[in-house]
Formats: sequence, C-alpha cells, structure tokens
Amino acid sequence: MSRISLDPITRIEGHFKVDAFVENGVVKDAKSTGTMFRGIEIMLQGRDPRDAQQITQRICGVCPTSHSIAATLNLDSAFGIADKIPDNGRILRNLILGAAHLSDHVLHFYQLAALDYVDVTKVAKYDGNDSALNSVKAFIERGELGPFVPRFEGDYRFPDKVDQELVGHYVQALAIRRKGQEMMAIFAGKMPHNPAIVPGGVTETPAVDKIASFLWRLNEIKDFIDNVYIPDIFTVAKYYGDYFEIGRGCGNLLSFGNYDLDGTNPDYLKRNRLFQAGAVTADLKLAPVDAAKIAEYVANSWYEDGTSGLNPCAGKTVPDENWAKGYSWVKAPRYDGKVYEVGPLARVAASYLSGQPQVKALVDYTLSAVGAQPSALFSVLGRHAARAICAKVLTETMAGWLLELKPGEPVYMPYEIPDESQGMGLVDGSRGALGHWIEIKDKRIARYQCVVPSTWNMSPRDDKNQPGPLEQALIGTRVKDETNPFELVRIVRAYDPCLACAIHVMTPKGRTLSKFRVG
Amino acid sequence: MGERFTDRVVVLGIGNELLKDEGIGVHVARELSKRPLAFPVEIIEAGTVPDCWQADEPTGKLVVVDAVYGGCEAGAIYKFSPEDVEFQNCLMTSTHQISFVESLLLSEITGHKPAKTVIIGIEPKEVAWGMELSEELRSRVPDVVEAVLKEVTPDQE
Repeated sequence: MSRISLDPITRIEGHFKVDAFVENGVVKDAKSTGTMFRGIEIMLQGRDPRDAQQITQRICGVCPTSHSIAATLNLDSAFGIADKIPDNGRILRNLILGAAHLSDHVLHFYQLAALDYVDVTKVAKYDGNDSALNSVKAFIERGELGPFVPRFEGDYRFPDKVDQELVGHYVQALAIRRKGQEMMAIFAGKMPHNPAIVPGGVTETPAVDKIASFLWRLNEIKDFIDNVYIPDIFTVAKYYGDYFEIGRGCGNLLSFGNYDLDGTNPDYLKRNRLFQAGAVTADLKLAPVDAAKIAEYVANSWYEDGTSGLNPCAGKTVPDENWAKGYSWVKAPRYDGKVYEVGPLARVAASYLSGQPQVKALVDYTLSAVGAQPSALFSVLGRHAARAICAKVLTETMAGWLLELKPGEPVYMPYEIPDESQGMGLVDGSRGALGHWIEIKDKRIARYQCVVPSTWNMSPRDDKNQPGPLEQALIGTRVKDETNPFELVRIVRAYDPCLACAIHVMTPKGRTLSKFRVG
Repeated sequence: MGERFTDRVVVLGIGNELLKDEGIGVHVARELSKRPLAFPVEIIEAGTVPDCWQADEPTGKLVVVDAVYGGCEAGAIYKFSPEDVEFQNCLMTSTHQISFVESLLLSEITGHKPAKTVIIGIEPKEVAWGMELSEELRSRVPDVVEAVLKEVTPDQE
C-alpha cells in the first residue's frame, strides 16, 4: 500500500492535509487532518456578547460575512428579537450576504478549482491581442508560472483554444470578485470584516444612490454568471464527464438554508428562505432539520474525551494534543449520529426536493443538458454545478430585493442584553451549514461554539469510526497516476475546503532580512 | 526621501488580529487612521483579505505592513521591496484566499500593478490565539507608524 500525502492542500502552511492510502491504484483509506487548533471559542468567553459578531468574522479571510450573519442571528435569538428585525434590516443583510457569496463562488471556481482542469501553459501559444493573456504569456516565457503553480502534470484535456479562453475568464473573474467586494462595502460600511450587520438589524440605510450603485455592479456580475461561469461549467462537463461519477461522498446532505424571505418566525430552520433548510438522505428523501440532532464527536480528534457527543449548545473546547487516537484538530459533527455533507449541493438538493421553482428549473435543465440522473449530482462536477446554480439563483433574485427596500423606514430595532440567555444562529454560509451557539451569564459570554461547514465536510472519524464526508468521497477512488493524483485533488477542491483560519506571516526564503532592517 | 505622488497611495495593514503579533499590520493601520494627515493616502485595514487593495485607478505606491519572519529579534522593523526577496509558501491554488504576494503577481496580469511597492515588516514575538500584541511589539507600534509615514509623506517642494 502506498501513501499519497497532499500537504498542505490549501497551500497555506500546514493547516489541512489529506493522506490517501492506495493499493493497486485504488484508495483504500483516507484521513483528513486539520493541523491547526482553533481557539476562538475560548477567546470569546467573558466578553460582551456583541463582540461575537466582530471577532468570529476574523476567523477567516473569505467567509467573514457568513460568520457575521450567523453570529448576528445567534445574538438576535439570545436577545429575544429574532422575529422583530425590520424588513429593511433583513433585506440588507440578505444583499450583503448575497454579494459575499457571489464573489466567493466565482473566486472558488476560477482561482481555486479551475486550474486543476485548465492547462495554463497553453497560453504560451496565444497570438492575439488580449493584454491579460499576453501578460500570462510573458510569465510563462520568463519561466515563472507565478500564481499557477504548484500543479500536477498530465491529465489536461481541453483543446488549446479552450484553455486560452478559460485563462482569460480566470483573469475576468478577478475583476468580478472585486465588484462583489465593492457591493458588500456599499451596504456594509467596509470590506472585509463588516461593522454593519449587528443584532437588531443593520447600521446602514438604503439610500437611493447606494441602491443604484449596488444594482449596476449586480448586473455586471449577472452578465458574467450567465455568459461565462455557467457555460464554463458545461465546458468542463463536456471534457471531464467522468467526474460526474467520481467523489460520490457519504450520500447524506444537510442544509440550514439561507436568505430569509420572511423574518417573522423565530425558529430559523422553519423560515421561508431562498434556499431551503433540509436533511436529505441518499435516496433523495427530504426531512426537516432538528438542531437538537447535531452533536460533535472527538474520539479521533485532539480534544478531551469527556467533550464527545455534545450538542453545540452544551459544547466544550478542551484541547488535548496528546490524545493518542487523535489525527485532527477538527471535531466530527454528525447529524442524528450519521455522516452528512454540507455545502451548495446540500442547499440545492434541499431546495430542489422542496420544490423551489428556480432551483428545480436549473437542476432539471443541467441534468438534461448533460444527460444525467439526479444521482450524478453526488460527484465532483455535481458540486461545481450546484455552486454555479446557487450563484445564478442569487443573481436572478437580488435585484428584486433591492426593489423591496424602503428608503426612510427603519433598518434597526433597539434591544437590551439579557442577564442570562441562550441563542442559536443557523444559516448556510457559501460552503454550507454554519452554526453559532451562545450562552450568556451576567450579560457576558459564558459559552460560545461555532460549527463551520468545513468541520462537517473535512471531519475525521467519529466515535463509531465512521469516516467523514471527504474521507468517504476519497475512499474507493481509482488513481491513474500516483505521482499526479488529479482525482484526489479534484475531489478535495470540489468541497471548497476552508480550514485555514489564516496565518500568513510572510516568510522570505533564506529567512535573513537583517540587511533590510530600518529599526 | 520625499516623493511626489500623482496616483493613489495606499497603506495596507494585513494579518489576523486574533493571532496576537500576526495582527501587527492591522494595529498599525488603525493607529495611522487616528493621525490627522495633510496629504491624501488610503489606509486599508485589510486583515485576512490581503488582496483587497486593488482599484480601478492606478496605484502609485503601495506600502504593506505585515508580520515578517526575517531572522532578527522580535520587534525588528524591515523595509524591502518584493523584488528584494523570494517568498516561500505563499502560493495558493486551493485555499480560499489570495495571499498578498499572489495578489501582486495577479495585479501584473490585470494591469493594476502598483508603480512601487514597499513592505514594512515587523518580526513577531508570538503568533498564537489572542487579541493583544506582545509587549515587545506594542512598544514598537509608534516606530512602525513613523516608518510608514516616511514612505507616504510627499515631498514638500
């Protein structure tokens, strides 16, 4: 048996690695390891509850907006005002989150995933006038692949023209990401780490000029999603159709849903949301989500054994780096004791099965265009397609939300922090089901727990020794070339893993900068 | 030392302020924003999104403030340009983030590369969970602010 180690898979020093054990070309076992302890829950203890919105956003560089929404829903619920947020506040939160997710989905596909399929070196043969492509060509001619390496060699299947076109889209996507960030800043005050989404509503009012400036960018992104992103997904499907059969995963899907269309139900999981909450089993049966069925297990994680099997509302974070069976800093969240995948595929599946008309139309169209059954969605390409469908539904819907805003009406309602309370904020971030739980004592945080999407997807084995969703997706995969294990890295990236929580101290090679000292 | 600027001048404070000294760039950006400055400069508290400095208009000078492992004692302040050093472990393809060094490479492709980039680096003492800087670094914040101001203050003539 040989071992293929993808470490660090995120290309950020040592946060996440995957070990795949291969025998006769097939993955027999896989271990997904989060290599960094996340101390945020401990840091929040004893603080003013309102700090949770600001601090949890800083866990990460790309999901801050999702954390700000989960933290705020959590606080709204603990403060007893979850059903009293003014419509303007609810809608502005949706718009800010929508801009974040659009920007994130585009970034994921082009900057992170596409390079596993697109051969950048083909741009060396480009002979046109596009300045971006010519500057990529200049990189290649200088012998630097710049941001496009390290990469595997071999299984690149597009004709030269398609490779060149997709590299052009890679460059366009950078501008689209920037537009999305600008949209967030319009209503959220600043980006990253917005100060505007707060318990009670938001702090920004929907002035007409802001609405116009948001809409103008939204239309530009919509154009890109419709005419570039969606067609590119079909292009990948055309040349890499076997990836509808690779990386099936655990078969169970969990969505908390997102984008409240109505804020009057204090139970977030029962709200009418643009994307629906639901627990979907492999036979495509949909059931409502019961938050009490969520528990985190630590038999194979570096935490004290006594903290296993707890619902996050009673969750503990007691690290034990000497725990012999441990192989990850990630806990193993399970739903009803079973392994569940979260993410765009779960959102799309729950919405599809509950009859959301936009999602239904797009899924049916996609499946008929590629000639596949719904079961094909449980795959690498299924996950990419689901992410693109989420982006498309958002761009179709957000302009309508702008029209629902009522300039001059309230965006916020005042509240008091209770002496003692508990709260729960559940929402899908762009990578999937995100939950924050709080317990307040003496107006301070006594307990805070976050269960983030990649904790679900990248989780290690649990107390029953069930492998996590990614581990299950890897096991059984045939690897054609063990020195270039494209299959494995394509499976991992389709989940859009986000475990980094960001350390990025710059580390120059050689490590001695004494000659550059100025103080 | 003074320069003349026609295009935008940006100070970019990067790092994760939940990881003690890793957040030095953010602390410095905040301190700078409190100073009344008599010249135009954009101060961006980029935190963990180090690629957010790009704009449609051209960037004349970009001054990046970040923790840097440079081999000297904690609190040492370095000034260098990206061409002076070769970076390791900074390239992504799978992470959710675009690192600063990548964003600079990508800006060459998109045509947004700053005319000049300077990195003001500070040697961290402690990178671990916590929101406060170490004493060594906290006492250096005013010196880092001065080093940054030197870079962005235009020539008086």
